[in-house]
Amino acid sequence: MNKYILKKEKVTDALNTLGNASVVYIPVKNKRGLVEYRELGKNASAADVRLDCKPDVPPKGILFPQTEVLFTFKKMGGKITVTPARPDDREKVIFGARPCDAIAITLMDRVFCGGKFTDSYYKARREKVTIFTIACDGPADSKCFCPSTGGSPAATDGSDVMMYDVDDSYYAEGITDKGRKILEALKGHLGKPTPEQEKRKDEIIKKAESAEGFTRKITEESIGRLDSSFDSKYWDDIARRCLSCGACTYYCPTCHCFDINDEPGSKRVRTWDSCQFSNFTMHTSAHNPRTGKGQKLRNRYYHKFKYSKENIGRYLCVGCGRCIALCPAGLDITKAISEVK
Amino acid sequence: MSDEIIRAEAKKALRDRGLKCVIGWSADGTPFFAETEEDIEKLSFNKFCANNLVPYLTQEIRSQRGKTRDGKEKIVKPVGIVVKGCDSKALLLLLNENILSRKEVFIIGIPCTGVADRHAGGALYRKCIKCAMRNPAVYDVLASEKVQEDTKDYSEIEAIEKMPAEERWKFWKDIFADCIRCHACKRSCPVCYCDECLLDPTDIAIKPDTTAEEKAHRPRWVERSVNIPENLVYHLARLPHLTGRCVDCGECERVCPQRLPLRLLTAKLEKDVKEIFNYEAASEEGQKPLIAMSCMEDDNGFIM
Repeated sequence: MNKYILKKEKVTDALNTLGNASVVYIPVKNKRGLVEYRELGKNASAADVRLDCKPDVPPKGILFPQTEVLFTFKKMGGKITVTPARPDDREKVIFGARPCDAIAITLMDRVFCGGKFTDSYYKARREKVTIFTIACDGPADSKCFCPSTGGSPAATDGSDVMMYDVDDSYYAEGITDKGRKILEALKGHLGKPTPEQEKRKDEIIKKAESAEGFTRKITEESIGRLDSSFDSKYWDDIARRCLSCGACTYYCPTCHCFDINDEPGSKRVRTWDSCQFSNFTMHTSAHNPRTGKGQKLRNRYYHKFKYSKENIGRYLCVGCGRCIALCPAGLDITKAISEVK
Repeated sequence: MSDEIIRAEAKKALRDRGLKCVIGWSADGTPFFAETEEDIEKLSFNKFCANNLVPYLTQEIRSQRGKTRDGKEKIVKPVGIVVKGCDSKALLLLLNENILSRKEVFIIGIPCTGVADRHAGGALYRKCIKCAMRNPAVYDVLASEKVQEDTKDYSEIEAIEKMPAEERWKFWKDIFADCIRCHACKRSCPVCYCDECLLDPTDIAIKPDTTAEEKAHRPRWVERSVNIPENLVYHLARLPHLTGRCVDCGECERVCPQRLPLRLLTAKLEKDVKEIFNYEAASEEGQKPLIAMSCMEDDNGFIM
């Protein structure tokens, strides 16, 4: 048996038990009203966990921190010594992710560990992560469009444990070996599902799969049109109001571009970068192949819906809608791809 | 209704003044660039039209500037813009600083009773609850009757000033710890119009004739690392550059995806400038910049 019931009133206890063996990240509402992931025991307590909404900030930074020291170096007597940073290999649990964010992590895996090269820093973290996902039964908010990107409000990709909100409890099911094992360890807090709860869970999955209630959509047909709209004037038209800030990329659960610099203190540091910044494509020669805002915006959209499909076989967008919610200029990726001619 | 006046005036100006475009909002509250009479029909104003459009005005005018092949200044087509009271203050500052010239802009002013976040229902932005600049400070036409303004309220700033130093440091550290340096505050700032910013390591103006030495010796005031010290330098070093210039339009705070209360910084700046130099940014047309008005009698108590 691999199906359990976690009573909502026991979530706190379960989190504390998980916290004994691993670092646990939970969605918490911060004092400015944003729901973001925080570390249990460090800057969040189990009672603060928010499992009733899609977090405003994706869990990307847990696996791929915005600022990461790769190594430090020292020059002495003509000799250079390099000390690699210790990889973060603590056991970690992300509790309360949403399906879109779990899928996004599988996409990051393909980027950082899926090809010829493996990013050892990412991999060290990733191997120690267990993800508890809460299924949505429809759009979590009006910006959601996961069904358009090959996802679903109850998709299980990337999740180790799937949880379904069945009224006063969570129905929990181990998806991977890792997930099944961790549920075993939590057994003291778990019960057995009743037939009604089984039924509720099936209803959630059925409702999720129907993809009803989504107001934002991107159709296959409009994605197909991207082939012929590369030179469209539309990109410059909509980019006119882009402010070239990095909000869309920094809050995107799949945007993974980074920059590496040497910084004072003899550190080599990796930081997030954004394709919307003008130095992103600046060559040493001073040639910049993408200078216009339209080119930069187009590149982001094409990367999400065209290049990635060709290169890794899946859209690099999971339809979480955060770029829509946070764009200061009101740009909307679903609208852009549907409208471009 | 103000929409009809906006559209009628915009159309008239597009025809008579040969505007390049009119920058306004569409009905969903997003910025909109109207180039034809047909586009102008889509211009609208409602309480969700929150963006300060002035940065776009600078963009549209600057992109036309330059020299023709035979060395003559290019002709700049004037640009129309719809502004709320706070936006108009920023525009007035740019006019006073000669970044834009008055004949290059056609201004439709909107007396404003406050705007709200289009994603978060109808609650007004914090900056709009009490506002001392609801009526446009500079305009060609007004789209509606002027409205009653409030007096400026600095009670929040005063409360922070009264905090013991340690508590205040903790207060700000807490805010800077949450900044992710997406640069939205700086890029949406109407008075931050430099091509290159010393606080922005993602935006360095390298030209084909920039030498290797120049590139190597470029000072790096702020590193790419996102942490409290770097974030603090980023936010605090912006302030001297905004002294006597920031009109407290609140755009930085509105666009911040981390919802940092950045107006606490700019409002403090405004308050200090008022108290120390008896100066208020963009308070009248043709006003000299504060930085050009320094004199021996100025209070320099803050130095020693």
